[in-house]
Amino acid sequence: MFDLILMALASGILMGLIYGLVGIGMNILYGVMRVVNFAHGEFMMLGAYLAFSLNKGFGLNPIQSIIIVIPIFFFLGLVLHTFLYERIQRSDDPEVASFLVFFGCSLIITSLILQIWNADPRSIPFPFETVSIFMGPIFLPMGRLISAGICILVILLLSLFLYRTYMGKAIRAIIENREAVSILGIDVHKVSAIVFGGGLAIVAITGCLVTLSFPVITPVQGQIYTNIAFLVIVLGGLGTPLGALIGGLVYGIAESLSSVFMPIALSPVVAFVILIFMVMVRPQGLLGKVSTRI
Amino acid sequence: MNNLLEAKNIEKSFGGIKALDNISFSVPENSIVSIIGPNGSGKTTFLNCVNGIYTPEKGSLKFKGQELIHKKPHEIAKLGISRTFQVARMFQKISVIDNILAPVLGSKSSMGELRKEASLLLDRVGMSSLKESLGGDLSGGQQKLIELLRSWIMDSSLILLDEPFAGVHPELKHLFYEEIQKLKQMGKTFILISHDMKSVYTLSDEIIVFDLGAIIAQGNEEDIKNNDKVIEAYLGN
Repeated sequence: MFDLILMALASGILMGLIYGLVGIGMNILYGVMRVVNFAHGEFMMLGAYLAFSLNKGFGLNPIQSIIIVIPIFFFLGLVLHTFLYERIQRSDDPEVASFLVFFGCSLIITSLILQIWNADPRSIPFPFETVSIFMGPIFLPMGRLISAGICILVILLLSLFLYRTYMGKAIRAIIENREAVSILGIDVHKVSAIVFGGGLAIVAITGCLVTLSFPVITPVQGQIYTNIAFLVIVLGGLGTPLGALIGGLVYGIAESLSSVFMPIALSPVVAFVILIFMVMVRPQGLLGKVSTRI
Repeated sequence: MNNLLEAKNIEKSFGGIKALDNISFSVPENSIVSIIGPNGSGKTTFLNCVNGIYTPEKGSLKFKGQELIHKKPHEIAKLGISRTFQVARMFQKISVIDNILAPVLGSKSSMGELRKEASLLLDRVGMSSLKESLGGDLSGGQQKLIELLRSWIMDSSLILLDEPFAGVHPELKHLFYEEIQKLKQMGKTFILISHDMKSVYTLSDEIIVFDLGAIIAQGNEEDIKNNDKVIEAYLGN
């Protein structure tokens, strides 16, 4: 039993890193733009399917595909920002409008994936697919280890960007107070376009990593990841980018550990019980602070 | 002396209530013009119109001859207008020095030079030891002072000060005076909103009194002190 718990803990941490990255993307978008991207998981699946096509068409493995999907999704983000975000901002209630717009996007993307790749489950073969690493009683599939490693690298680079570069500092300043930033001469609109592009690029990276971590991808998985992203950012703290990492780890470990003690189908229930508990006792999330908007 | 800012017939309403009613006045270059008035008289609303947070329904606001109305806040800031707030809007999770440098993020100027300049400014006001502290660790008065120091980095021509002395320790208030005087000596222009009448009388070249969104008096200390409308606005009938 102890071995099983250790195994579940290790697996939870590896998955938690991926969930954390999913949440970080959504959290930065919410922090800067005050929009809840309810198509987050669907964009992620679009990235996964693009990786699948790059594998079929050009023989690229999911790690190589990351290099291709980043600029594609960044550009897609800029285009969507131009056509959607400005209209959302003009509405009476941008947050509610964003919910509806991105819910619409999620339906469109799912239909698009079904149309292009059909409903069959897909998988991408990669060189280390069957290799696992054994550490005493724990065995770790190479695909998940590589995914976790890339997640750590992306999170480190993102942290360096947010905390060491001037654009990153501007993004953090906008998350704190949009109005104060704009009267300092910073073009919030331009920064939010870059953030939207960057946010979608992160989502696409996660999409590629999912193909390494799970045996198959299906078009309808997007909604699951959107729910996970939402749960993770509430756990970690809405608008605090790195809080999502903590939220992701908590969720990953809870999901994995619960599968040891109860039927696997009930593991999402545990996660949502944690969410409800968190909303009741610490609604600002683990790293969030209680704040009022002036 | 040329006028740096010219407001003509400015009107702004909120839900049928006129917050600014036909406001017209000019701010000469290198002067300190104070706006005083009871709470709710429209002082902060006027500043919000100047830096683009609000868009007036009528009138014109010209800065160095350029119309400000319909310009976005960041465009107005780039023209050379900076601002401090009644409740300082420091970035709480960002270091003090980066808070000062926030307006020049991504600027083409050498960041090394700007950091050096920001360090010198902090040294001058005795806050160099707090350089790497987070904005949220400072007192309310210190946060307001940091907002003023940003004006040096922004090199703004017009600085809008909204209640800079409210809740500020007397020693810090003295530092505020010094910084405002130094900036004025460099040719900067100010619009000052304050309830601290001693500071208003000490610093201002001209005082404008707002009441219920309209200008009821304008002039120097003596003009204001002896104006019946001003006395009535503050003390009631």
